[in-house]
Amino acid sequence: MADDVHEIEDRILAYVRAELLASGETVGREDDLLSELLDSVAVLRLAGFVDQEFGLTTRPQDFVVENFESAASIARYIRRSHTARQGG
Amino acid sequence: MSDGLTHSQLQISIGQRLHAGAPLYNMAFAFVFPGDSEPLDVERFQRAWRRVAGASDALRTRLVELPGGGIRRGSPGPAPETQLVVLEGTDEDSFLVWARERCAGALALAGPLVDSVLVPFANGGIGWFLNQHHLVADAASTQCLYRLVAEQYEALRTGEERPVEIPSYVETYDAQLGRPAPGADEHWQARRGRSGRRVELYGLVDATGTQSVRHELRLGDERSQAISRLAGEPGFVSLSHDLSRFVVVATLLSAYLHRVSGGAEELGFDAPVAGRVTPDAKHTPGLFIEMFPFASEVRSGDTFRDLGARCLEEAMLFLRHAAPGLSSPSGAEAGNVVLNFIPARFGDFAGRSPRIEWLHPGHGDSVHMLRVQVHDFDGRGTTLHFDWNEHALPERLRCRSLRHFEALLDAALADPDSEIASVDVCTEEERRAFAILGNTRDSRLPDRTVVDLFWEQSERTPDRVALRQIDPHGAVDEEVTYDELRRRVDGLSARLIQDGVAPGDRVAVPGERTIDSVISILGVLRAGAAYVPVDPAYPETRRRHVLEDSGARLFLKQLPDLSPWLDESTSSERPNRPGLDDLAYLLYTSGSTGLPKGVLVEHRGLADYLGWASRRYVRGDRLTFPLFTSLSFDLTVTSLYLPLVTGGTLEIYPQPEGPVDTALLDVVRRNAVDFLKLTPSHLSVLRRAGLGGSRIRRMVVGGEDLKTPLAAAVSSQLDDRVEIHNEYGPTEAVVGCVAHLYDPAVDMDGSVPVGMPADHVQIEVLDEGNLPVPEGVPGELWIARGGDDWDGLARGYHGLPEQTAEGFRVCAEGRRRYRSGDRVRFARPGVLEFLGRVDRQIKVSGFRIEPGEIESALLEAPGVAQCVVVARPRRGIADAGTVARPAAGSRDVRHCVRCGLPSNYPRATIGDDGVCSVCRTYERVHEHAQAYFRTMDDLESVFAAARRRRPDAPYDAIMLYSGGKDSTYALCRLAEMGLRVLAFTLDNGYISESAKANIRRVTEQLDVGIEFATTPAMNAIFRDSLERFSNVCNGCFKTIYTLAIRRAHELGVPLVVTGLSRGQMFETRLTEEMFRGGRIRAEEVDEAVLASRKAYHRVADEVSRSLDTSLFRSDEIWSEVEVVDFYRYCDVSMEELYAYLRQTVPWVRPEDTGRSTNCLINDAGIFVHTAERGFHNYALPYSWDVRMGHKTRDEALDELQDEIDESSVLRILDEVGYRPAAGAEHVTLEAFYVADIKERTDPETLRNHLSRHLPSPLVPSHFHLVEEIPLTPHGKIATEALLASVAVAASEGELPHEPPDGPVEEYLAELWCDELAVENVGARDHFFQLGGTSLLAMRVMLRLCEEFDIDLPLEAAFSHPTLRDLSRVAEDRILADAEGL
Repeated sequence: MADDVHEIEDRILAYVRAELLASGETVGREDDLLSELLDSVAVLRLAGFVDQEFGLTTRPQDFVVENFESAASIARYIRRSHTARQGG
Repeated sequence: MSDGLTHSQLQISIGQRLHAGAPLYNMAFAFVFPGDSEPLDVERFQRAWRRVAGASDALRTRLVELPGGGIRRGSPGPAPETQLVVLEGTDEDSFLVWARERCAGALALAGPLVDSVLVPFANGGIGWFLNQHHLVADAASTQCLYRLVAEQYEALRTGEERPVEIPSYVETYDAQLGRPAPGADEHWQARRGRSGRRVELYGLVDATGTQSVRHELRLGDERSQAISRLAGEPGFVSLSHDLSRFVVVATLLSAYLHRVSGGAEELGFDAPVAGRVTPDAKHTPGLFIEMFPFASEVRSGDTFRDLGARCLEEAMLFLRHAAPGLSSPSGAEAGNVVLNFIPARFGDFAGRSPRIEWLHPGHGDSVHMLRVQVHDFDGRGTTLHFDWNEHALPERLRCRSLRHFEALLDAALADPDSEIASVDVCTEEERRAFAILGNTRDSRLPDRTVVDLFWEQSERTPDRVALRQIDPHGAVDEEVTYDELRRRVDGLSARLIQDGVAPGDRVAVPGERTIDSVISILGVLRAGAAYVPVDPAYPETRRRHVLEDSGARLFLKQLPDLSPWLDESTSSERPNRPGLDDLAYLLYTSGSTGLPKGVLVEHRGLADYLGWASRRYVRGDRLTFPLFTSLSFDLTVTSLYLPLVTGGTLEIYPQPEGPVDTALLDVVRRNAVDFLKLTPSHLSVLRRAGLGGSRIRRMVVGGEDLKTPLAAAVSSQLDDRVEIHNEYGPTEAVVGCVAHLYDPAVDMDGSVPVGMPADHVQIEVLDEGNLPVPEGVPGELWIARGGDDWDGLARGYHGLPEQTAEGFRVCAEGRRRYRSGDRVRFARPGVLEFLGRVDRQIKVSGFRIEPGEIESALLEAPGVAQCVVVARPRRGIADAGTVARPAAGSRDVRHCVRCGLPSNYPRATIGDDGVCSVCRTYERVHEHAQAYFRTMDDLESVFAAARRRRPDAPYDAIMLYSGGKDSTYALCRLAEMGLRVLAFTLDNGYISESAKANIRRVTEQLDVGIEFATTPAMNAIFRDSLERFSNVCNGCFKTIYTLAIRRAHELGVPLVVTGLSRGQMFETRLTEEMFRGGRIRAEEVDEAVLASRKAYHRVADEVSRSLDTSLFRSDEIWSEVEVVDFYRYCDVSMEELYAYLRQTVPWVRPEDTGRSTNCLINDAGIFVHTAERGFHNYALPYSWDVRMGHKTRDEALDELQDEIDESSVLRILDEVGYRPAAGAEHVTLEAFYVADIKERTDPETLRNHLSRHLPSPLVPSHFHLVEEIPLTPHGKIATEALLASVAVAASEGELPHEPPDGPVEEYLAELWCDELAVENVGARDHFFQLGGTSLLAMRVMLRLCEEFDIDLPLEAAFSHPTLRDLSRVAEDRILADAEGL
């Protein structure tokens, strides 16, 4: 299970590093993406990536700090959404 | 391609170049460090600044202006210094004054682009003025610069000097590019093409010039905090606080735009995106922002929170797709409103917190009408700026705009769940100014009924003629003096009273125009009862409904013998004399729910109207009025009573035998009246009939929108010696309540204004929420008539309390107001403009029609399950007025024996020898004209010079490439010359497939690049072109030139090459005037061509509205991009050209267009042009092809006489949405229905069914059986889609089509097509079944008689309604006339 989470986090971080960060910039699983690293545009593009990559449809009301604060919180959000969908 | 500028800079540089020297992109700040804090060390500040400026390539930017007007990046200059300016005795206030002045100066592009100044104050404080050109800065950049300088200042103070490291602006910027978000292109394309991009603010859309005025609103702590709180609530809250606050502001702005646009639902604005994606970018001074379109939709009933949720969703899409480098580079298709929400907070400066003021340089980008800036730089609370384009909106409106916004802001903060429509945005001042009351002071109150007024008049002028009956031949039949009339009226009233008629009763009177009818009306009134006219033209069921519904006590079908009563009736003190509160009449108008409703008008309202109308129109004169319209028509009230209360004469014109009422023409023919009250439809009949020599001097036009061209035509027929009063008023507000005297010198555009209220009338313009709209904003007109203690409006609808309550509302002050359903706006104080209906009501010839009434009747027909009735605007042609319609190739047309130019081409004549004047002129001048042409060697030199001018250009030229033979040949030759050419094709949506295939094959084989340009505005441009020129080509050409020159500019390409043929050059520029002195000077032609090119691209039309034509505002573009005509340099015969193409490229002659062009829309242009202008628009061009040897005369004639497939033309015209300008007056009613039982619902059955129940104007001309009634996404009936789903076909298939035969039938068929806007009329077709009306019949007869110089009774159109029958009548008359000679 933890591996799954880590794998999701890694895919997110790989995208962030490749697409949204300047070269040489580093970012970790728990690093705060919102206040330090990414601005709104970048986060929205990240959200687009998450939707596409993990088959979600992020609704406006899901766009809250808790869900997008860090790679770890995004991974939790993805898992929650998947579970909710399976449960539903 | 960008001359070293970044994508963001490109946009700004274009705007700056258009307005060279205007400080529109100055970003200036004043930082005020007050005297009570620790003083700043000037020298240390300057050192800190120097260190930062030296490390930033952005601040050291220098630009080089290129000779062609372009801008490129130069090598960085030295670091700009912070100057010290000492002004004697300066304090904070005088510093700000100085700073504002300084920021209005332009910064030289050669640099420095930054102006930094310290100004010490007398009290020890200091001011820092920082002005940066937007090319090197944005708000975040300024914040970054501020922080960097502060850090360095602090480091210098503590001695911990650190090296300053700032990433390179250019590198950081470019590093962000090339990573677009998926779907971004599609998203922005959809956003740019969406309607609502240019919002109508206060009825206006366009900005002019760069002058801009800033209006400021400081929100203060309380409101700033309330916004923050709201940003945390559901519907607004999002990822970050800044984003949530942006959503709040976007919501408020959307609500504001909705309200000041008159309730527009689709709205939008442009908003900048920071564009700083990487962390490096966040620490780099320089310009990163880009503008993207934000779409907003406000729905009826929305609360602020509803709208917020939608804005939140859009904000997500907006940000998700806003990748760097994706904005429209030239600012093309920009919106006219900008929302600039700036989250930047500057923070402390070395322990001090300066007050920060953003200075406005007094200029802004000229495409923006309004820029809304929201910021809180110094943490002292949110500030709002409305930067208005100064010339777009009058000052009083600009000043009020913030109040309107504030009202919405406060409402949203107080309760986000309140409805947006419930907020009263108007200022007290506006409420006072725009609830306009007509004259109340020196106008007499209605104190006597029309009965009393007539009585007094009859005593003053007993022997004057009151009524004059005219017989059907225009001779006087009977005259009645005032005294006699009064005696008969008195007699009748005595008889009625004896029969038991009592006050409050309704008595039906016949609608026929006779002396007896007038006596009946007056007699009923005199007896204290109200009259109900019953129109003889109505179907039986409708007349029965009127009689039953009104509860008429009796129907005075015929006057009784009055002789026993005549002598007793001398006293004016008879019983039952009506009072002002009594009912005067009941008129029936179309009711939306199915049955006509009776409007109850009281004496007070009638007397009030007549009093005002006498003062305004009659002014004490004795005038003769005609009675020629139906007595059941509200409009007729004016003519009926005005003469009788002013001592004039009423001439009564009966309805001639037969179904058509042509009394109007009898009025004109007899020429015995001074005054006419009529509808615009009547007026257009008069225009055709001709009014020369008429004694009419006063006209009152009402019932429909009056267009200025019609008013102008009629006025000039009467040598402008006629007063034309445009009178507006619904029956419910009593005949007329707003009026405007037409002034031919002033009223030139669109419609004649409806003017200002009549005496005692008060008008208000309210929005959907029944709140007053601000000045300029469209809204619904509400009308009150009366004073503090009296009410002159109609009493209501008879027996319909609900509809009465709906239509007549009591407002807060206790006064009743009538809701007109008409959409209007105050164009300026005192000028009310009519804009249309708020509901579905239609007017046909002044007749009010509620589609709902027709639908209800139709639903009663067996087998009809569902139905909708819509008005199709008539396709043009009909009201062209002066234009006859000889079809191309029709019998009377001759052709020049040399070139085939037809004789209907208006600007040429054909001589006795059969040679046209164009050929003759050409014969004289063509030798000399050779001086204009050049050789291919010259063309080489043109290219060489261009290459020297722009050595770095990616192409030598852009070639306008239509795919036709001429441009293909030209393209091949250019490629053969080894030139680097980019082929450029406008895909206007109608290019033939074979032409496109040619284009692809040819460019591929030549290995030439090809770009297909498109614009979402193409159909709008076609429409505009059809309206202006009756063709499609002009709009298309202009679009090609505009887009190609813009593209050349963007790419830095110096030449645009056209494939204009030599014939076209003769046609358009080598005109006879160029040969003054027998020779031609090529330079003179070139100058003239360039001058006209400049003017051509500056004309305000759909191209300039829809495309970015800002390039053409300055002359520089013409030295940057040169337009070259290939065939000026190349002379090639047709044979050579075709032979060359055969050998060189896989080009095939297009066959799917049916003619020698590449474009399928051509036929539509030809059709409209031929119809509206009377000749083929290719007549002249083809004749030049013949003269140049590029076509044979026979080929030209063949193409000119080509059959045009009218059904495909009409489909195309529908697609582009072409409706002729004059068409608004003419509509055809069409019914669409879904049937349960198809067999029982054929059109003929339905038409007969409706004819039994409805007056003829209400019976639709066409009935279409459909599978379902389509709805729009908003759940409304998709009218356009319905109309588009069926082309109007003449025959509905009852009889086999039989083509017209012989000259008269053919002419008449053309005439019908023209007037009825149908196609393919056959000999057996029936005029009225094709949608003909009485007025149209009159026009057809007038034109028919004119064409063949015969005299036919107009009734012939009715007695012989089929084409063949009517033609026989005309032919007989023509023969009879000929024999008589």
